[in-house]
Amino acid sequence: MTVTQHRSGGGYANRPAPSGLADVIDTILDKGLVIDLYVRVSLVGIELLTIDARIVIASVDTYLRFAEAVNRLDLTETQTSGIPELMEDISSAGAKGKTSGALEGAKEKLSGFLGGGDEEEEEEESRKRTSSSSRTSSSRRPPRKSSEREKQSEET
Amino acid sequence: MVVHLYGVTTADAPQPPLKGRQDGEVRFVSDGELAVIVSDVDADAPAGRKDLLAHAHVLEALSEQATVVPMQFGIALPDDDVVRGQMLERDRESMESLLAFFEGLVQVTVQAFHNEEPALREVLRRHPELVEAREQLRTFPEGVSQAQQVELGQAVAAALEELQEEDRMTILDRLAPLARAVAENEPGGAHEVAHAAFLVERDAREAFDEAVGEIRAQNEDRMRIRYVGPQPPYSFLEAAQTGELVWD
Repeated sequence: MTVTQHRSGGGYANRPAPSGLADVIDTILDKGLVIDLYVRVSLVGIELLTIDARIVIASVDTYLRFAEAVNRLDLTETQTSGIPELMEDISSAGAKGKTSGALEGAKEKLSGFLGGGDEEEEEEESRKRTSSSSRTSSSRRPPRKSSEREKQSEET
Repeated sequence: MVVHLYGVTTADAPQPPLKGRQDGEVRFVSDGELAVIVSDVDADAPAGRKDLLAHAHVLEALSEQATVVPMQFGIALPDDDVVRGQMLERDRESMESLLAFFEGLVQVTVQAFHNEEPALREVLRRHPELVEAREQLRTFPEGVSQAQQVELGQAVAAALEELQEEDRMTILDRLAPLARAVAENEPGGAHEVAHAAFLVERDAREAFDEAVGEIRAQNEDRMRIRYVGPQPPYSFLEAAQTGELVWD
């Protein structure tokens, strides 16, 4: 049996794809075994990055955008009319779609850290687990509070 | 040069030719039973996106056929002897028990997003009162205050969240029965419907793939779905270590 590193092309249609950059932020930077270290590979500003990647924007600004979006929605037509996406999730921001407002700022930071040349990257001695993002249950996720959201968006 | 650690697998795992970080040859440091997945890297070179992806893709390629316990990115040891001493001697017991725990299991990750316009369309279809509110604001645009706009936007956001929740449950109800365990991530963006890791038996992978394909096809207009894998069981490691996750 042959295995190659490039798996996306082969196999049947529904096969999962290899990780992208957004996925590795969720997985190998956040989870995985850790041991007492002899050598720490120097890394980019990971703490900032994981925080930025998790920003959820909802504010007066967002509500105004939603109001505008439904206003512009033509309910009589059947074809989609090409209204630009107002907000794009950060995870897919690199791959497709448009971003606006604070999310764009977060995206810029992200690409600043990971998209830039390696030579610009700074060493970071200790990186903490900034967010424990997974829960091993399928219970209802906690409601997002608008006050928290506004606070988060101010921090950017 | 130092030795970069990717993860741990069993020594009898297939060892396909793979390139790791800095295009280094991936190899096993093995004692005949366990194998540490490593490659030699330049210790001084900082890590960037290519390094992150190389680490992930090596583990994913090996996960196609073998049980793999992943290391967090960024760990390197001076040489093979230290790797043996640390991973195959000092930490041997926990490596063995984790490999036994996850035997025959892989992680796959499903992330679903709403396409904004079809989702808003559905929201208006379900909530005639929002259409009415919209028409009122449209009729006298000059007299509309920002507060009224915000109020409409909030109502739309609330209805959208309801729709997200409904679609999230549709996805989980279809996929969770095909998995041994599910680990959900917190919402990551305004249009994210679901983001969950599933621990799937290797033999059940095809059925799982088909189910994801079905969900895709049935919700083509409203949702787009990212499906990633097979990965080592990142999202279930902690639960396995703490004893929160147990098999019957």
